[in-house]
Amino acid sequence: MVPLVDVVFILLLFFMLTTSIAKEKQLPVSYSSQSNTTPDVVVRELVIETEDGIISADGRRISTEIAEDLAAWVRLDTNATYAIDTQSHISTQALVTVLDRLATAGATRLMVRED
Amino acid sequence: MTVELDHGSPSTDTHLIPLINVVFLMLAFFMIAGQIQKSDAVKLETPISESETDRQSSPISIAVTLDELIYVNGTLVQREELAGHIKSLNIEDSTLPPSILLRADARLAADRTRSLLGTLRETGINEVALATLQTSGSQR
Repeated sequence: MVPLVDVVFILLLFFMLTTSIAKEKQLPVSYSSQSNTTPDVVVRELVIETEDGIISADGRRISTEIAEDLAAWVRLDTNATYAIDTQSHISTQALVTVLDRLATAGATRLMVRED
Repeated sequence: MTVELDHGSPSTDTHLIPLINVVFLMLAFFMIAGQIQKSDAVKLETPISESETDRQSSPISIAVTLDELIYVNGTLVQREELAGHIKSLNIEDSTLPPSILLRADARLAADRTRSLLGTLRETGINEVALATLQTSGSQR
């Protein structure tokens, strides 16, 4: 019995050290500068203001954490291209979170503004 | 007259059975739930996302650390040489649409990431795949 237990322990150690529970994914990101956006495409500009996902768009502040508020804003024009800008203190994680929330709210064309 | 039969003490192997059960369960968990992957040469904190798109292998992988060090396929590259370096990598498969996987540290300022996108556009690429992680807690 003891040799079997030894082997099982070694296997357990191997899988504990080599496996990752988190799944590796990717998020397609298109980007554009202010100057090279196609003129006939409706572009809705938004700026990420805070780390918890408050954005300013169309002259008002919207919390992306409140899915209903964001979905209501996106529903105004789901076919538009959403161009995302950020304040200087915003992290890449906050940018990714807002991209996720906009996609969940129904925005299909997402674009990150180049700095 | 009563006779007591000596059944003997249970062997030490019998005591180990619950332990072995637990170890087997842990082994099964890690074998089923985990995935074996090549460890990245550049250590950084990958952003968490709800994206359902599985990560594809890409001929060009760019890692940007919190210190803004840029690694292209594991090689440290200066910021001003990045566009030229990527163009030189892309020569071999110029018939294919170029594909770039960008691994940016989650704590890196978003405007630094956006600035890097501007540099990448100089190479003629207008879309990258941002490497993310989906934790079990972020699954919908």
